[in-house]
Parts: sequence; structure tokens; C-alpha cells
Amino acid sequence: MTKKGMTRQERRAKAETTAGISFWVDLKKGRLSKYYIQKIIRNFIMSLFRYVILICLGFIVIKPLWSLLKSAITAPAMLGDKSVMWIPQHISRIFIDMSMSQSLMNYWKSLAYTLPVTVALTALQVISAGLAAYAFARLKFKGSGILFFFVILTIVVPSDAIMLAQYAAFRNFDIFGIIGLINGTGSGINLIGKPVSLYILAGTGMGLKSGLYIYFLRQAVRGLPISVEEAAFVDGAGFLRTFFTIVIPSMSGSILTVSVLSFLWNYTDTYYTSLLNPNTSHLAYNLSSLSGNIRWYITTAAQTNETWLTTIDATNPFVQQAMISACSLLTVLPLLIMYAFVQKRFVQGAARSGLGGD
Amino acid sequence: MSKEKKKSGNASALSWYKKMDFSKKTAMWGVIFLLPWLFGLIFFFLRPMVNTLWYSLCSMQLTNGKFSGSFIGAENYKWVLGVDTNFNRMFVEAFTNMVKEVPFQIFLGLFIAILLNGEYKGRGFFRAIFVIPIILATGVASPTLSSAEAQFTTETAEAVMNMEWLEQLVINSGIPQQLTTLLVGYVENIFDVVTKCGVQVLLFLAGLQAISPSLYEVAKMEGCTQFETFCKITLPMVSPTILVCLVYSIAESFANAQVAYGDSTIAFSSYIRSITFNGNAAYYGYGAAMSFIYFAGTLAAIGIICGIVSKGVFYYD
Repeated sequence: MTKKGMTRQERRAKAETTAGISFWVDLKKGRLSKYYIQKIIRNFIMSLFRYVILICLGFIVIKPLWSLLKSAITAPAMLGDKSVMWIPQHISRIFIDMSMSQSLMNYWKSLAYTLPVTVALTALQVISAGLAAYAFARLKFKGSGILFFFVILTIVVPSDAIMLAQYAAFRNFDIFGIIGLINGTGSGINLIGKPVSLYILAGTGMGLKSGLYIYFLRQAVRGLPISVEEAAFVDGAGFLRTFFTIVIPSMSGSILTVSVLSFLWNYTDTYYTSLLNPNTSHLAYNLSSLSGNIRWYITTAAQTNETWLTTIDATNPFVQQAMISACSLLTVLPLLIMYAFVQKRFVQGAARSGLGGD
Repeated sequence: MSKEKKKSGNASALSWYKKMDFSKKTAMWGVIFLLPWLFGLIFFFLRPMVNTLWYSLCSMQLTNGKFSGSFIGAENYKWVLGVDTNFNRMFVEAFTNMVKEVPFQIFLGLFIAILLNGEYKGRGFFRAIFVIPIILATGVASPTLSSAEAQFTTETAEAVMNMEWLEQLVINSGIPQQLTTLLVGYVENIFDVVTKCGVQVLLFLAGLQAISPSLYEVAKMEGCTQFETFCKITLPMVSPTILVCLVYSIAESFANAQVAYGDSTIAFSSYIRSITFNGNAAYYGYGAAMSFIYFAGTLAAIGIICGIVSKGVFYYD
């Protein structure tokens, strides 16, 4: 140990001292310098402030989810107990098991259907939005400004207003009468009830909130320094190559954000699913119909002789409430798990770090 | 030029491409990149939109299960603005709600994003938490917040944050009452407010992360204070994101506007839906007219606000 019991910080500061001058320690008095103490105090107050606010807001945000969890894992006998505030006394898995059963959610099978569809939709949406965004930001041509106005329009126009016409377009799907000519009937094909209809919407940049993604990515591209792309062009890279090897990696953070949002919204979407692809294997769609008429589901369960019906009183409204809670929780859970992994990838962009002049 | 082109295209096609000047090439690739989107725009957006516009100018009849319309000009619009007793009031209410909500959402979104962005312990945890509002806002978990529980939550919130004395104090100290009531309203509905700005937080977080750390380094070396750094670096660099968030917030605010209807509130969009599909075919035209007025209004609001804000937005190009 070195002399006078210096602290770790003091020793580090001493080591960083050059030519007898130090910002960290007051060498004459042999203690931490005034500036360093000020800095420590300021940082402490800042982080205190940060934690207080984040914890308070976090509490507000987490509370509904917690009450969902609480009512999903409470033992049936304890339901409706007003004295239970946070943690139920008796925990049971019965509601979770129930919602996983075939007559309610058919959880694993539905998840196996929902996840690939959602991933495909996300990929299509991000690709179409990325291409359009790059074109709007950098590859300008006459009229692209006017076209961009339509992007804003797609954000603004409520989907209700064009609902029927969109439905009709997929009910009788045809492009300039080509499909009608090929199959010889003169009319298009019916794409309602097939996920293809959703893929077409997502792939052509008209999916759920695609306008927002295009706008956001366009702004992200415009935030990139143009000199890197110019350098790529000068060095002989084509447009596609520049887009895929320069632009996409430099805005990976924004693309990740858009992917997360797209995944999340497609996963929980009930509007387009109920309009174009009403399939009870889709988790969110099933959940929305389930929370609407839980009694019908219980009747079905009775017909298929589910074992859980014998253990609880399914006519009790508290039990029905808990069933819906368990279903919601199971629907939300994959999203939370996914995001917990993905958020680590949100890192500081290094796009501009190599550019002195900009 | 890309390798694929070299391989697949024959010599004449290539020379045609090579002769093109750069601005023309840019325009061509711009159109190519936009093709999928243009296709979608025409088939799944413009066509339905034009249909709706046509319906709004027609008197609609249902004959043998098929809609048919005869052109009547602006009659439907006259009905909506002149005869219908609710629409004008609802529209104004939705608009004032928007003006109240949006600035606060942007502010809170940026504020939370800045708090989340730094280096601190438990960063991953807090970031993971702040995606929950977006999930909740989609309504997946909302049916479970039964009315009894919602009321209970409100009561607790009021008990914890009984702010009447504070409100009185602030009003007595000379700050305008409207402003105070507005702010108190935000605090009382803090759950709603936080739920609504989830997307903005995520967008701002991405915007903040795109800022190069070297800019902050320079500011530090030059002796900028935290406030100066915020005004001179953070704000200009996230200003493009602010614009996106504004457009999104305004559109969402209109889409989810809750307006008074009778004794309770109703979503503005569901009022339009109830008019559109109320069984009488003539109302289909009225509904279409309402939709058009509604998004013309939204668009005007976005145009004005973003027109002002975009003057201060910083771009690299």
C-alpha cells in the first residue's frame, strides 16, 4: 500500500498527474482538488435525478403489467380479494395452463403461426420503407417532392376511410386485369383470409404505419453525411451497392428501431388481421375476440371436455377476468422477451466518427 | 455501376446506361427504389381514396346489394357542416385536444429519451421497460384493466398527488389559471400521457444515438456547459426526429381523439364510423364527406405546424 492511505481515486488521479500538475488532486494539500469534488457532487445529483424520475415513470409504466400478472397467477379461491394489493398469497398456474389449452388460445400452435407471419411482415415492411426512404432522401427526381406528400397522406388518412375499398381490392385481386386474363375468368383472385394479402400490403409500403417508417428512415438518411456516399460513387460503387454496404450499416440504429416498432405493431395488430386475414391462430386477433365473448369460448371448452373446467367455476366473472388476463399476459410476453434481447443492440452510431470536416 | 448489370445486360444496353449522366442515373434509380411503394400507393391507397372522394360527392343508394351513386356536388359536405349537430363541435374539440397534447408529448418524449440515453447502471432494464407503453397503447392488455381497477387507480393517484393546495398556490402566485389547470391535468393523467409518448421515446432514442460522440467530445474540450451542449448539439441533431414525431403525434392525436358525445365520450373516428355504417345507404356519403373533412383538417394542422418547425431543422445535405 502507498503512503497516507490514499483512496483508489486519489491514487488513480496521482497516476494521471503529468509534470506535477493535476486536475484531480490538490498536490499541495494532499487531498482531492476542489474541481474534482465539484464534479463528483454534480454527477451524483445528476444520477440521483435520473434515477428518481426513471423509477417513478417506470413504476407507472410497469403497474398495469404487474396487475395483469397478479390476476393471472392468483389462485382461483383468492380472486376478488380486495386486501391483495401487489403479491397474491396463493399462487397457482391454473389460469396460465387454461389459456394455453386448445379451446382458449392453443398457445404454442398459435405462436408458431404468429411469429413467422410477423417476422415476414416486419422484413417486408422494413425493406420497402428503407428503399422508399433512401429514394426520397437522396435519389431525387422531378416530382419526388410531390410523391413525398403522399407519404404524409398515408400517415394522416385514417384507415377507416379506405377500409371498404381496400377490402374490395383484395376480395377481387387483380393488376390491370392481367390475373383475370391468365386464369380465364376475367375476374381476379380472392386473397381474403390468406396472409398473402398482408404480405402484399407490407411489401408495397402500405402496411400498418408504413408511412411513419418511411418518413423516419428518410430523416435518418438525411442525417447521414452525404460525403461518404459521394466517396463511394467516386470509387465506382453503384447505387445498389452504396445503399446496401454504406447507407444501411450507417443507419442500423434507426432500422433497428423501425424493425422493433414494426414487429410490435404487426404482432398486436387486430385491424388488418380482422379485415384481410381473420385467422384464429393469430394471437392478438384471437385475444381480441376472446376478451369480447369469453362465454362462448367456455362453452366450446365444455364441449371438448377440457379438464380445467372441473377444477374451477367458469361462470364466476372474476374467474373469467383472470382467464382473459392470463391470455393477455401470454400474448404480451414474447414481445417483452424479444425486446429485452434487442435493446442491447441499440448502441451509439459510429457513422460520423471518421469524418473530421463535417 | 453494379456487378449484376455488367453480367446480365448486353453490350448495347450497358453503353446506353454508361452514357447517361449522373443526375439522370440518380433519377432512374430513384424511381426503381420507389417502384414497390408506388405500386402500393396506386392500388391500395390512391384508388380507395379516389373512391371515397367520389362517394363523398355522391348521393348513395343501395340497390340489389350494390352501392351506386349519383353525383350531387357538395351536398354531403353541406349536410355534415350544416345539418349534423355534432360534427363541428367534435372537430373543434379534437383540434383543441391536439394543440394541448402534442407539445407536451414531444417534450416528454425527448426528456425521457435523454434520460434513458446516457451511461448508467440498469440502462438495459429501463430501456426495456419503456417499450411497455407502446404495447399497452395497442390495446392488447387494456381489457384487463377492468373499470373497477381503473377507478381504484385513479383514486390512489388522487390520494397520493392531492394537488389542490399546490394548484391554488400556483394560481395565487399569478400564473395564468388555464396553464395551471392544463399542467395539473397532465399530472393527474400521467399514465395516459406516458402511454401516449412511448413511440416518441423510441424514435428520439434512435435519433439521439445517431449523434456522433465526437461532437460532444469537442463541446467538452471547448468548455461548453451542459445547457449549451444541449442547445447547440442535441437539439439540432434530433430536430429531424422532432419533425417526424410531430407528424406522428398530430395524426395519432386526431385518430384517437376522445370527444364529448351526450353524457359520455366517444372516439371521434368511431363517431364517423357510426355515421358511415348506420344502415341507411345515404349516410355512406355523409361518412365519406366527414372522413375527408377530418383528414383535410389533420393535414392542414400538420402543414402549418411542420411548416414552421421545419425552418429550424438541421440536415447534413
